[in-house]
Amino acid sequence: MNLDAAKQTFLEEARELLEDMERILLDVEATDTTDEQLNALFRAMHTIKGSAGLFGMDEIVHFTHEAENVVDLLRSGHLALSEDLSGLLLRCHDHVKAMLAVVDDKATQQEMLQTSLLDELRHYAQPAAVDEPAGSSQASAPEQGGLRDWVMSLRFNEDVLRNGMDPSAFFRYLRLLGEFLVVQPVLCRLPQAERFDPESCYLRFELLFSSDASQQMLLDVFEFVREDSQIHIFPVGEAAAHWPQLIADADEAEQAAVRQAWLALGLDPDATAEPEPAPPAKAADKASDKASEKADKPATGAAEAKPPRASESRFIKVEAAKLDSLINLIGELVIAGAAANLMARRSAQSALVESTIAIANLIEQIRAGTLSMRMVQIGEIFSRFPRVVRDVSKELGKSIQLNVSGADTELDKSMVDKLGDPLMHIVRNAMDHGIESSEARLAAGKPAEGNVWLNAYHESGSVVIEVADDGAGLRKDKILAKAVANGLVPADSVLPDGDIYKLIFEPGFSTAEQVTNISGRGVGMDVVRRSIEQLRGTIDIDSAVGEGTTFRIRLPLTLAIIDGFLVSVGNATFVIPLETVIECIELPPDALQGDAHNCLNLRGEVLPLLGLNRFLELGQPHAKRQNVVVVRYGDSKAGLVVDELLGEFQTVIKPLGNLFRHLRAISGSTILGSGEVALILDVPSLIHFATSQEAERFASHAEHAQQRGGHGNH
Amino acid sequence: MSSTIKLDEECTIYQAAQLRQQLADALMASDSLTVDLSAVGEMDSSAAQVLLWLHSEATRLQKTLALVQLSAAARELFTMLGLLIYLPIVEEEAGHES
Repeated sequence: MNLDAAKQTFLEEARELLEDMERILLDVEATDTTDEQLNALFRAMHTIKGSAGLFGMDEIVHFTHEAENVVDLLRSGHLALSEDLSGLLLRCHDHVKAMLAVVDDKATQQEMLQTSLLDELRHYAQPAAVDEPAGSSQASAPEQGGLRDWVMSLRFNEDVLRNGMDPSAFFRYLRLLGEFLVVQPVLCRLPQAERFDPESCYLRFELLFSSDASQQMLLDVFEFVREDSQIHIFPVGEAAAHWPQLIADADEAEQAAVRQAWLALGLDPDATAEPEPAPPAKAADKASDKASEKADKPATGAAEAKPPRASESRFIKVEAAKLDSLINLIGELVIAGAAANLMARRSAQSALVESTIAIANLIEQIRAGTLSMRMVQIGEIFSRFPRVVRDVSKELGKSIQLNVSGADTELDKSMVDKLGDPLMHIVRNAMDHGIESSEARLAAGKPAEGNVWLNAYHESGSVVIEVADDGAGLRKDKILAKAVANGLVPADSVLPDGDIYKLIFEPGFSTAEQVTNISGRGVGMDVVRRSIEQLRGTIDIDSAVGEGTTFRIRLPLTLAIIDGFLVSVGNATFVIPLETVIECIELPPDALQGDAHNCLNLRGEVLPLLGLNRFLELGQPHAKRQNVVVVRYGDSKAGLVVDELLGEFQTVIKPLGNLFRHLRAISGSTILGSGEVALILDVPSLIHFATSQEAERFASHAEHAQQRGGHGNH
Repeated sequence: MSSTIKLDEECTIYQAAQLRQQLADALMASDSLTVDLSAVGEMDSSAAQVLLWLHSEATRLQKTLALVQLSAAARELFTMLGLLIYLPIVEEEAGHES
């Protein structure tokens, strides 16, 4: 039984439709509406209503029906999309979303129907709908010319029941759109005795239906089954012309039965039968059937010529778990491939080596391809912000413009899911605390309208997301004073700017003088930092008083497989994420390793060095020649001193056990082709350590000189 | 030899296979089968289809089949799908025994 699956599909589709709806509503505020947009609005409400009907969600049907009426008036030009109305529709959007969230809870849904939104909707629908019979809940879309009689021929596919569709549900829903005049079941397909499978559907119905709905609306009712089943709906007058189409797939007994049914409906199938589409040739018949169907469409009304829904044809929905297990397998494949490659090299058979290289190449492509399947555009989360900014700025009485760029930057789906909340928090914070009130802005010589920027881009193997505002900026002195008052830092400490700003991520920290609804309760920023860190990301703040603040979130591209750079120290092997590696140089013999300067002059730039041997306390004897791997993360660089450079290696990240979670220098482990385990170095924290080590040394020098001074610790 | 079988409250696709088995067995076991629909609270096309099939089986095997005591839900479904005249519905106030 696939009822749950069908429901999931419905919920997913509804979610997408609602997103479309929201986007359009926010768009049209700025510009004029186009027919396309209004049609999309209508389709969102209409499709949700239709599908909800199939699943017996009567409350949602009821609500969306009212909204649909209003949107339909918009579409027909009887109403204009005023700010008030689009606000109302946005609230309806929220309401439908909320109803969908409690789809299994009938009681709550019932309660949710008791909303003033319905009255507001009716208020809009009323003036224009005076010519409609009042209170007729089935009066959808008064399209061209009122009540009509329709002939429907519904030949359900055998699998509809198994797929969770119940033909009677379509009937129930149709009753909302009009009235059944005569229903003639065609039962001859029902097999005898054992051949009858109670979970297959053998039913066919020929019926007369009276409704003021358009042909398209009636066809839309069957949207979920149209693909497999043969659903034909024609105005009574045109029906006979389509007779050959209706019986194209039917055997003689069925043809006879359908003919009987038609006679019972008072229709004459032979009235104006088409020139005879050569019945013996079955295949040709089918083809011509399709062709004639196509040819017929423009003739039977432009309404039916609906362009295929882009999202249906271009995307396949795949369960996330399946993709995860595929990625897992590919991880194993990468390891196995590396092992095979190693064996081949050892065997010194060049043909074998060559073929393993070819395989490795293919694996690399598969890996890239599969990982890209997990990648989604960050626009998915950005898209909810226009709404938030709009609502919050209204609430705060500030005028704020949101500028989004880089929405097409891709990152791992699992990260996108977890990023939403922290981003939301930062944006709200920026609006509430960052942007000043219009008066204050004008007084400071800035335009009254504040700006919030959302920006995303790729940089050296990571994704960077920036949230910037042009508000008042962070006040270092205030933050420091507060931190000192809270006992977070010693009173006389000297901290670099970046570290001062980072204090706002400490639990219970808020400099806002006023606690508002939006933010400022001092909970949250620490949660933001924690959730970013859980994604192996970092967050930095730039700020200038009077000019604004920028939050910069830096995240790894993916969580599963990385390109690694293999190095060895003594007989231990380590992996450095390749995207952080800038260059490799030989350690100059005169560069002192140890006590004095742990720095290297790299083309005039001072590069802090970190000897892995010493730092990780490996206790290995020094190799004769040592190398420096220059790594970069964000704006800082450092050199890692290692013994040997072993080259690139596709690395499947195996997370460390809980016991090792707190380790700062190691981010994970991997298995080499030889079966050995190699640890993956956590470059950001190594760099951090290298630079702070330098800073400390510098500070202690200063200390000696001045006899006093604080020193930073990480 | 006749027997009566009373359908459960729920007659949907979830019970279709079981329902078909139950009814087929009952039809095999007796010459005249009465199906009591008074308890049916929920019924979908699949259950209706099983009853249609049972009717055709009964005809084929020359046995008697009667559907009695239609609940509101069952009657609504049969009416909506236009099946009333295709099923052997007996409308009398039949008292039934086990």
